[in-house]
This record gives sequence, structure tokens and C-alpha cells, in this order.
Amino acid sequence: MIIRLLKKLGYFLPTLLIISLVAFFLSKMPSGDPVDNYLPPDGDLLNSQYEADYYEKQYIKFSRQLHLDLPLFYFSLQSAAWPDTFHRIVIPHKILVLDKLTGQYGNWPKVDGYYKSLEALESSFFHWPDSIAPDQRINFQRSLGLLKTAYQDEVILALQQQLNQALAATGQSYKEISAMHSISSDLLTYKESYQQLKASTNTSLLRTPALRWYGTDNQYHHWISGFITGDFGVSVRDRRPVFEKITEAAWWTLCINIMSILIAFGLSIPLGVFMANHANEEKAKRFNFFLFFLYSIPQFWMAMLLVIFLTTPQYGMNWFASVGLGSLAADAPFWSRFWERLSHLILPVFCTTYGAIAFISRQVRGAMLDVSERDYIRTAFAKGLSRESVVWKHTFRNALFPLITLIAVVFPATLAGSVVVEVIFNIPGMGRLLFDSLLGRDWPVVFMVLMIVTLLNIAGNLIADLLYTMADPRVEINKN
Amino acid sequence: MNVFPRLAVLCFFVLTIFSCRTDPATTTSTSTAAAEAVVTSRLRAEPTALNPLMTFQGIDLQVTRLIFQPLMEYDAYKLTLQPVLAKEMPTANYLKEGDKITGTRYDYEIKPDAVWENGQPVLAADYVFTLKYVMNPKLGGPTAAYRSALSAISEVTVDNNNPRKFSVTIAPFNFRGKYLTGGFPIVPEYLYDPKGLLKNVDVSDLLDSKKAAQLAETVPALQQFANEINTPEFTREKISGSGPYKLGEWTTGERLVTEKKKDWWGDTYAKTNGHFEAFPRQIIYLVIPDAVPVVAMLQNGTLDATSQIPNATFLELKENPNITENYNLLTPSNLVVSFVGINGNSPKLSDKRVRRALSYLMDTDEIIESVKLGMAEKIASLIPVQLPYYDKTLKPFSLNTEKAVALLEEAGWKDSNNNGIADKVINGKREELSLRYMFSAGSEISNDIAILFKNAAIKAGVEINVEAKERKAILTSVNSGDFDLYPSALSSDLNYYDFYSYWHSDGSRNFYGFGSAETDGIIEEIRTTTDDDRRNELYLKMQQIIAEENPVIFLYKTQDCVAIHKRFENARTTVKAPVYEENRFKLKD
Repeated sequence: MIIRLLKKLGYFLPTLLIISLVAFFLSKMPSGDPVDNYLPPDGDLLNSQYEADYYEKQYIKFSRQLHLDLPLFYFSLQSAAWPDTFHRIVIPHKILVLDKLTGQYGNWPKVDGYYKSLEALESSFFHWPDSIAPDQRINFQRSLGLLKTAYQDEVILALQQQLNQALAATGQSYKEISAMHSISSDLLTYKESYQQLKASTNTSLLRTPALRWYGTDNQYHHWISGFITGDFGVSVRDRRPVFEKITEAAWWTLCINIMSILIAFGLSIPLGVFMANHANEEKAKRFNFFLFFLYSIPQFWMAMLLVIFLTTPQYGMNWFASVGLGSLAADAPFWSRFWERLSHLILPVFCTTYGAIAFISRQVRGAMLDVSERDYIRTAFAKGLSRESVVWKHTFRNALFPLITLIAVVFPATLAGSVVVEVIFNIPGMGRLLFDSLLGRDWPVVFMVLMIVTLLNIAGNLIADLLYTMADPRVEINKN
Repeated sequence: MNVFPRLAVLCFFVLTIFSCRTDPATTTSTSTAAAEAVVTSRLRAEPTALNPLMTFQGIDLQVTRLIFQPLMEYDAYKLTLQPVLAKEMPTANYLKEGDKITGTRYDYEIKPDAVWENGQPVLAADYVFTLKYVMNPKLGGPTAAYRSALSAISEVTVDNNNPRKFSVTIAPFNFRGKYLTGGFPIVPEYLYDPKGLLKNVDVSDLLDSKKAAQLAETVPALQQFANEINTPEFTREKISGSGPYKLGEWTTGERLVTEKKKDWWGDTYAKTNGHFEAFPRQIIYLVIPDAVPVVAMLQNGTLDATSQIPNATFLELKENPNITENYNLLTPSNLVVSFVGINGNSPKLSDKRVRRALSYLMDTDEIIESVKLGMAEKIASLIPVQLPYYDKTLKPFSLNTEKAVALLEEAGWKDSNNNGIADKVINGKREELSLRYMFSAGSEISNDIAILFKNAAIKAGVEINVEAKERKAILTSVNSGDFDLYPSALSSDLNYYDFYSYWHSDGSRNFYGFGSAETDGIIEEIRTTTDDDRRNELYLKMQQIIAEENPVIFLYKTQDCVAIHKRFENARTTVKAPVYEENRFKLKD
């Protein structure tokens, strides 16, 4: 058994690794810049020079804190044209331009030199006195701003032309002013560096692959080490540990789902057996039809109907406690709070249960009908065993397989929570946490929930495998 | 096979027992709350931080405004500045070098009876501490944004004879200076710096950016303070100020309770100053993200106030006598204006006649009626209509295809190849008037507006290519000038509007290619003049230029959908966030 367990784990660990890689790379893709959450929102109180400088410095600072200046993975396989330190550039527009230019010309030193000359031109532009040709200053600045994000040759040339025109329109006499002179000379240097870049295209390097090894100081390593050691990171919304948020939410989801599973299995097994035993009778058929009908009602619709009809006085059926978890204060007597909360959980539990009852009982019915036709069941009856004994000890035991399969599904569901039920009934469980985190772009929470549910799925499958062996020893014998 | 009937009976029994509802929520809100003045209000999400210096989230500020107080604040109804912790409004003392105004000094005195929750007086030292806290260069996030705003303060001097008196100097002159010096919440030094980490740091050093940068490297206490203040201890637990309420129970994901302080020092001012009105004994905030539970709670009367009800749901509620009997359903405007930004740097859009034609092709009446379901107002300016310098003479655009066609023809755009799209030779190349309209994927409203615009524009020979993109991709495109049309919104406060960031040529968010020496001059003069009349004149002029240049297509000003229980008087709405002030809700006799 232990060897079989270890073998199974041997299969699951690579699965977990692959899923962790998918989760990690997905976490790099969603919209919203993670650094933005640490930077102040758009404000209009500052002047641009201070602001641009401030933003850039802050951006670099927080990028480093979030390990965004590290390589993504242990190794990379890319064109040799890109330097192995490209990941250290963190400003998005700079990455875009340098990436595109390197892709076009394949000569990193020249691309780097080009961008540095552009930055030098921008620095000298800041010394352009306000008193000199303000309109041309504006034109110059506008073109310069666009150049910082331009990578297409015709766009760059057109913008360079505009820079020339703006500077020329200020008049020759201004060149005697040192600030204007240095702008003029930096513009010349910048244009030369662009010509050099174009002249030194190295497409052969673009076609040469380069495998680079970065070691353990990479983003994935930091992320997965955190997960393994229980450091799930910090929520970007409220800076609280993700672990703490998940454990708080998991409590309510566990409450609802455990109740729901117990009720679902507790009701649907006898119901399925009953329907199988009376398969040809009218009442069983009606039951079957009713369960099929119940199963086909969408959960969100059922939840909304229950909330609107059964928790409000509008339709005269204000029978159940309203949404939420009640309003008794934290210092209220324990049992008062317990009963109040339980009363608020009835409808959510019903909502998560009715579909499962219908599904499981139909599964049990099917399996029971299948088994009841076997020879050994006829033999059991022929031996003179009681009907109850045949049904529960022989038929049901052999019809357990589909139920065990369901455990593999149900186990992760205990913690995953239902977004629909928790949002509509306003229960702060895992489903609502996931929903709120998705809306708030709180990716550390979202991807950690994803990882936990994956782990539970794997564990569910493992448990189901073990239960198969226990229910039917032939599973292992056949394997051997 | 007797198990099933037994289980069914048991299940029925259990459900029947629990179904005998007492619904404590209803009891609290309707009967108990009525007697004890408890207000139950909705929060759309869990608060992130209840430290007002570490958040910009409206949800957080809705709660912190009950706990912390600034020196002055705009009154929600009068929309004028009123003293809060300050004894009276400070006068502006101009500092001059010759004729030139080099700065402004504001003299403050804190109300003599103002105390913190522990009974200690609120002193000038707490103001200085709050400034040190914000100016600590080791703090990022929202605190950094406050810091950049407060960097306009150049000096703070505490009166040696009166610990409640102090002067704040802003240099150079800043037209938003008065509110800047007194509009931020003051936090108690005793609670937020119990170790006295900032005690030995001089505020004047932190107000000087160069010295502050040096201190950041040489004074470890700044980093230590930043590390400690960034923990949930100071965003969720130690929440206490001079305001009328204190933080009570906070159950994550469920509710947050604020309780009125007993014998609060500010009660004596309530009759003359609206900021001190604090009638409810408790304000209970319930975290309810979705609209379905909100509707259920309104129907059974367990919620007293909510904003941001979805428009369609709101219209249904208005038809429901059960709701209208118990609730006032209100649609207050806020200070957010929505528009579609035009890239004036694009050769196709550099002509103002083309931009104006696009404004005539945006059917804002239809958008307001069918997309916003009537919950919006047309606009003709970026300045909110509530502000005194809003230009009332400006008329919003309405759909007018003929005018649009005429303007396009005037600008040289004609359908010469009969393909239904206007074209023109630009830089020797024939270009079709085909424009990209980018909006955030997933936004139904943006999608509907884009489709309406596309359908109206093609009738004038303008092809609109609608692109639903991820926000990140849009921001990258907009920042790099790679866009034609992009819907956006601008939020203002009640302080003087500053055009700089979006409309000055040096403005870092001027994505629209707007600006000339004239408009830059106006924007700078608005910032520097001390003459209010002149400033208002300049505001009007600037609005007229924007209306003439059409750097954006104006859409609308959104209205919020609000329900407030009728058992309260004083339950008014305001343009100021949050749209209602629960502390001013007073039970009807």
C-alpha cells in the first residue's frame, strides 16, 4: 500500500510542478501592473518634472521589492541578441522600446547607446529656458516624449524631423545660450547614435539561440519557495498576509460545504437505493423526474429566487433569515450567535446541496441497477438472504465505485467554495474572496487559491485511489 | 429500506426548527435601531486600511472620516471650507520679496477642547508629527502621494507660548495652499509613534527634499517607523482619532462597527458646524459586494443606506411600493466627468474641425437614455457644474451628422473613392478616416458607447474600429501615444481645479497633444494669481478654449443611485464622497 502511495505521489508531484508553473506564468500575464498598487494613483497636484522623476524612482524601488528585476525562471532560451541582464530593466515603456529595437537591429550595445543618448537629450532639454520660444519648447517636448516610446523607423525619423524644426524655429541667436547649445549638440549626438544603430544591424545574432542559466535567484524560485514554506505573500489590497485571509474565508466555506456534503450523501444514498429498488414503480419514476428537474435548475437562479421570495416580506413568505451571517455582536452569548449563524446558513447550504442530492442519487441509482443484474446478486437472493441484506451488503458495496469517484471531486470543493452562493447570500467564504480578489486584481490571493485548490484536487484523487483499493482489493491485484 | 423516510422526517424537522426565523438583523435595524439610533450602512468591499494617511480608497475614507479629523474640511452641503480641529479658518499672510509674492503663511490654533480618545489634548505637536509621518521618505503607496502634495509646505513653526498655535508656510505660492495645509487628517502622536522614533527628526529637514533624501540614508529610525506603520497593527487595530466615533467590532468580510464616543468633546459645536453633527449611537457597516443581497435587505428593511445600486435595479426599486414607502431613492451627481480622449498628435486628428466633428457624432442623449438608463447628465466642460467657476454659457454637443460632415469636408475629408469612408491626402499618402477606439475589455458600458458611436460615425464617413483590450495594454498604448480615441474619466475635488497635469504641455498625463503657449500661460497664471476674480476669469477662458479645441469628446457626468431609509431626517446626499454622511442621520421624532 505504501509503495502504491509513493508511486502515486511520484505521478502527482510533476503534475503539481506543472500546475505551479502554469499558475506562476499566468500570474505574470493579467492586466494591471503589480507595481501600480504600491504607487500613488493619478494626481494632478505635482509638476511633471518632479513627478516623472519621482514615479520612475519609486517604480524601480517597488519593482525590486517585488523581485520584478530578477529573471523569470532558472534558465532562459532566447536569441543571443538580447543581453542576459535585460530583465533588470523594469520601466514598461523602456522595456517595450528596447525590446522592439533589439528585435529589429539585433545589436544590443548600439540599442542601449541610442536610448542613453535620447535620455541625455531629455536631460539637457529640461534646461531649455521658459523664456525662449515657448511654443517651440512645447513642440520639442511633445516630440521628445513620443520618441521615448517610438521604435518604428519612419516614426522615429518623422519625430527627429520635428525636433530639428522646433530647434531651428527658435532662431540662430539662441545657440549662443549654453542651455540651447547643449540641446543642439545632444540632438546631433542622438541622431548620430540612431544612424549608427541602423548601420550596425546584426541579424545573425537574432537567429543565434542562447541558453542562459540564472540560478535560484529568480522570480519563480522566490514564489514557489514562499508557497512551500507557507509564506503565501501579502495581499496587494490590504497588505494582510494571504494565508490569514484564506484561513478566515476557508472557515465559512468549510462550514457550508461540510454540512452540504453530509446532507447530500446522507440523503442521496438512501434515495438512490430506494429509486433503484423501486425502479419500475410509479413513485420512483416521479422521484427520478423530480430529481432531474432539480438538477437542471441553475444554482444562481435558485439562489436569487430563494433570497427574493423567502427572505423578504414582499411575497408574504419571509420565512428564512436574511442574507449575511446575522448581526449579533461578537460579545453576544455563544449559543445565541451559533443559532443565529446556523439559521443564516440554511438557504446557502440548501443551494449548495440540492444539485448534489439530485446528481449523487441518480449516480447511486444507476450503479445499483447495474450491479443488481449481476449473477452474484441473484445467487445471494437464491441463498435466501433478506432483501435488506442483499441490497446493503452485496449490491450497495459493489455499487460504491461511482461514489468514490465523487469523493475526488467533492474533496477540493469543500474548500473551493461557490462564488455564486457566497456572493448572493453575502457569505465571506472562499468563493467571495476569490470573486473580490479577481475584481480587485489581488493576484497574490487569486493564484494562491488556485494553487490550494490544485493541491486539494491532487489529494482528492489520491484519497479516491486509496478508497478504490479498500473497496475492491482487485484494483491492486489487477495492477500487479 | 426504512432509512429514507426516517432521514426525510429528520431533515424536515431540522429545517422547520431553523426556519422559525427571528432574523436578528431585522430586529436590530428596525425596532432596536429605531430606539437607539443605529445606522446600518453598506460598504461595497472590505476596507483595506483604516489609516487615513495610508489609503485613497473611498470605502476606507467613508469610515475614517468618522474617526479622524482635519484642521478644516468642505461642508458636504454648503460646499465651503469650515474649520474642524482649527479654532477658526486661517487667513492667508502673503510673504513678499518686493512686489513678488513668494509664499503664504497660515496661522492656526487648534480648538482648546479638542482631545484624543485617551483624553490627551490635540496639540500642534500632533500636526507636526502627522507631517513628519507623511514626509518620511521611506513610506510608499498612498502616503507617498500625500507626501508629494504636502511637499508644497516649506516650514512649520509652533508657538512657544501656546502649544495649540502654529504657523504653516507654503513657498512658493500655491493656489491650493489653504486646503493643502489643513485638509489632511491629523493622527495622534502618542498612538502612532509610541517609541518616539520620529521625535528626534526635525520636520524642517523632512520638508526639504534634499535633506530628506540624506536623512533616509543616515537615520535608521525612519525605516523602522515605516516598517512598523506598514503593518496591519496600524491599519486594522490601532485606529483612533479625535473624531466622534471609535472603531468597535470588525469582522472580516462581514461588518465593521463604529461607536459614538461618550461625552465627545465636539458635541458642543454640533449646533453651529455640520462637521460636528454625530447623532447615531452606532454606525454598522455591512460588507455587501453584490446587488442581490442589497435588494433583499432593502425589502426587509435591514439596511438603512446604500449607494452604487446598479441602474437597472434602481429603476425596479422605484417601481416597488414596498421600497418607496420606506426609502428615499436619490440620484446625486458626483465630481467625476467622463469623456473620450482624442490623440491630437495623430495626423488624422490634429485638425480641431475633425475633433469637433467627432463630438457631433457622439449621441450623448441616446447614451444617457439607453446605456446609463437616465442616471447621467450631459456636460460641456471638464469642470464639475457644482464649482463656482464652471462656465454656464457652454452648451453640450448633440448628435448632428450634417454638421459633422460639413466640418469634415471643411477639413478636407471627403469620400473620394466611394467606399463609404472619408479620405484625405496626408504627407503625400491617401489616408482613410479610420480610427481606433480602445476601451477596457469587460466594461459593458464602454462597449455599448463604442457601438453607438461606431454606428453614428459611419454615417458621416468615419470608420471606428472598436478594440476591447486589457487595461494594461491600453495604458501602454496611451502612454506611448499609440491610440486615436480612448474613453476616460476625471475626478475632481472641491479645491481649485488644477489643469496642469492633463492640459499643460509639460503635464505628464497630457496624452491628447493639447496645449499652446497661450493655454500654458493661462494654466500657470491660474496657479500663481492671488486674485480670486482673475482666477475665475482664467478658468472661464480655459474652459472656452477646451470647448473650442475639442481635445476630448464630452460624454456625461454620472449620477449615483442611492437609497436612504425614511426614518431619518437630515439624510441628504452630497457631491462629496461618500455621497451621504451617516453621522448626520437623525431619527425623526
